[in-house]
Amino acid sequence: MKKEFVAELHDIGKLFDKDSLDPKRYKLKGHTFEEFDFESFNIKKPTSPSWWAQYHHKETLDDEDLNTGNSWRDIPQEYRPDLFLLILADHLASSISRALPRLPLRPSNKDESKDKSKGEPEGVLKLWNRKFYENEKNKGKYWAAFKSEEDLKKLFEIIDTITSPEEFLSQYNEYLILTPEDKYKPRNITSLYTHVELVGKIYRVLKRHCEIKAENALELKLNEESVKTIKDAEGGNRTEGNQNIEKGKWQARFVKCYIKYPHSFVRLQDINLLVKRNKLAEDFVAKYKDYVMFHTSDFISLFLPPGMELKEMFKDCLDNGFFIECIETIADLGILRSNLDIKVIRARENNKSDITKVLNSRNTKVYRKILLPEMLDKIVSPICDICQFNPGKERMKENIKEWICDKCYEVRECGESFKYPEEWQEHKIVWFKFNLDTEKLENWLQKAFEEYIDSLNINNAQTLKHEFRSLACQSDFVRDYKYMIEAFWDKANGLAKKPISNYDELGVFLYSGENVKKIIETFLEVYKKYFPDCEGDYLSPISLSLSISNVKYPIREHFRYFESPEGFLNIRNQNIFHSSYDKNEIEWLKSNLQPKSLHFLYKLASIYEKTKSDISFIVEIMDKRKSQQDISDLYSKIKIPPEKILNFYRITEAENELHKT
Amino acid sequence: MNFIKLNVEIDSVIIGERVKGGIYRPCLETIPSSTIRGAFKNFLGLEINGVGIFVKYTYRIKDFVYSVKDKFLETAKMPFVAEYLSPKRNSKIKAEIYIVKNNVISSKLFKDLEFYLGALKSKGFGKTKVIEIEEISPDIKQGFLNVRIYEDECDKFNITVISPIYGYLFYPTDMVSGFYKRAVFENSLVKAPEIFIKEETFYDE
Repeated sequence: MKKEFVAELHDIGKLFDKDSLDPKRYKLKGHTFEEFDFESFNIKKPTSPSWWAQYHHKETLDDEDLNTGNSWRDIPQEYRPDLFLLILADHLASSISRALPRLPLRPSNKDESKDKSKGEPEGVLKLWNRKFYENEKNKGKYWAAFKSEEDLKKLFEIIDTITSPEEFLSQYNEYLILTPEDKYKPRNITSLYTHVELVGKIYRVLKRHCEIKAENALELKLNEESVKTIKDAEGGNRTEGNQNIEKGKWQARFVKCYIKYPHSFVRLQDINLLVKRNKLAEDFVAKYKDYVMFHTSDFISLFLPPGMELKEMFKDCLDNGFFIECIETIADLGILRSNLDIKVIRARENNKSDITKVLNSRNTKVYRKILLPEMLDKIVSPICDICQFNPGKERMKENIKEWICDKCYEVRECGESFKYPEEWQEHKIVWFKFNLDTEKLENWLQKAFEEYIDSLNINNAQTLKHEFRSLACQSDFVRDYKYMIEAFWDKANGLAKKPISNYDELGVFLYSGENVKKIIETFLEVYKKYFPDCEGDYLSPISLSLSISNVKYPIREHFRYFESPEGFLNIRNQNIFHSSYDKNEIEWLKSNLQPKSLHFLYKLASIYEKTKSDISFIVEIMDKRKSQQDISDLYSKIKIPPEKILNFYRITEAENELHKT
Repeated sequence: MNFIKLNVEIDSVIIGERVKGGIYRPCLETIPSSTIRGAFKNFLGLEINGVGIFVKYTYRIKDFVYSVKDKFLETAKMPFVAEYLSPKRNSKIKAEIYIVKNNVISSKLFKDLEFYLGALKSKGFGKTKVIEIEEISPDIKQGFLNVRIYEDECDKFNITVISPIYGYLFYPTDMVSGFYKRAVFENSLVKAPEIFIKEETFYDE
């Protein structure tokens, strides 16, 4: 059987700790082994197709014709297309995923530069969990999978014996997630796992859609455009200025897809729709595995060649009543990246003609598309109560007449049916939902990266900030988000129930002040473990919303509240109040609030409600600062309005206070 | 294209969605063209093309519980909860209604007009008073739509749909019947007079 070209192996050298050998003796340079002297060390040179991926860093390959170029002569003709596409994929994955393009990185101070080189970090630095590697190292883990002469032999064996991407990723997962894609600051913020995974995917997409002609000379064709050099395919890699801006022959698309639904949940079983959405997203990812850069339950980002029909790809989602909002960027391979859409729109908005001129000359497009299921021009009444997209059919249940279309009824009847436990009837319950906002995530990563750059004292800081691309970090962040929720449920399983067993973002529990406190504490505990350096304020991509109501309160109203979380922790008590808190506020409130303050809090809240002025209640606080010292301290240190203090107290401490308006 | 802008004040109003589960009726936070059409047809006897937007932070959503009476059996049906918009802080809900100006429809028609908007008028909902009238001719911009409008009426409002989010609005044909007609919903990408745009955008078309 012919061995496969496993593109993921191209950076296997990054898992080798060169410091474990004598570098002079082994003449090791960079992280590839194309010049390694196998004979001298009596090591068997790999012969598999994947070996030729070791040549991907030979810079002269980019400009030379793959038929006649000197640098290409070392490569057997049958593997040249694979290497050609791998180099494109590596560049693309780097520009899509790597935090930064290849820019000279100079510390502002030369002496400092020397100091820094000694102390270069070895493990990945997660912007949201900066001590991640240090903590893992304390547990006995180490980034390098290969760290001796024997291991070096093993590395070459691996290149020969690994037969699939999955085999490599699963066998070396432990090391790949600890190793940065690039060790040098500030590029050390993305994991090698994400980079090699993306390179492999992009390589296979290009290979699948690329026509390889080898009659007289090798010729690679994508979308009817044939090329012989990498530079021809990519074009320049800049979007402004005069240099490196030439048009490339090959274009591709980066598409951000949000899976949305028009449905209103009427009965509890209607939340099966979320199970359906998860299942459809997972099926999509399984079917279009290589096209999917990363995904959550309601978001998929895609790398696509021109011509692939999005509507066809999402057919199953559309047939099941979902609609897809897409932001599609089409650009030359040389400039395509995950945040190019934002850059293009911003340049147009701010009339930056130097940028828009280059982008237009390279035929760069950004579309916002909505993919919808087929819809009738008109529907004769009644329409479906739930989706309001299809004609409804009469259904009777418990003497109540409803009009529900076949699709929504199928969702209602499918899967497990969650019922509140008998002992919850006539009591208050709390629905809660975790949320990860992908737009906020992009913004948060940009901000966190800028802070990281500022901390490094680098000369070209502004350019680096401007060039940051967040996709790989997003992918790593989402992975940690999933781990965090799993950890939450490990701790909260006895207290809360999952209405949908394999959907971890949603839960419900019987209301008591103690239970609310425990859920909030558990959330904070796991959040601090996985995201200790993500502030937990209104900019936080992660949030938790709690909605308290009577057991009979319409489920759709909980979901309406969950749709747009305002802050880090959002709490609503049906028809009474809703408040948002950040992490610091909750911690202060938890540790400082005293029961004796309740009456005073009511008074302050009432003053605030009547006057809407800070001054009036500050005067009141100052006046009572001796008898109400905890409130006075709380307000002077964290400036929380008294209404929010009161609401938190009512929800977590004072059972009977919950019902007061 | 010229529009008549009516600044109106409303006591409380129900512009309902479909009833859910036979017992619950959520409320919209926009005034679709179907509601404006119905209101003026009722009050002025004219076919008027208009849409409306509630002014943010002048209202909040509350629940109204009532029982529908079965006139034949003289009995009350199961209690029913309807959401409604209630003014914030003892004031009035503020809204802007935009009407397409033409030879028949002029500003004079609406001077000091009081009319009813939406559902459950018999329970006192929907009383609306025109406070101020302006004539405007807004610029055309690309952006996200902030109203709901029948698809086949978009051209009457000078709205070009680029990437639609469709839904359905009820279209009454007489006092007791009608059908659901395809409509363009909020957040559709359009080129339109800027009054119908919630956020200007710069996408390719």
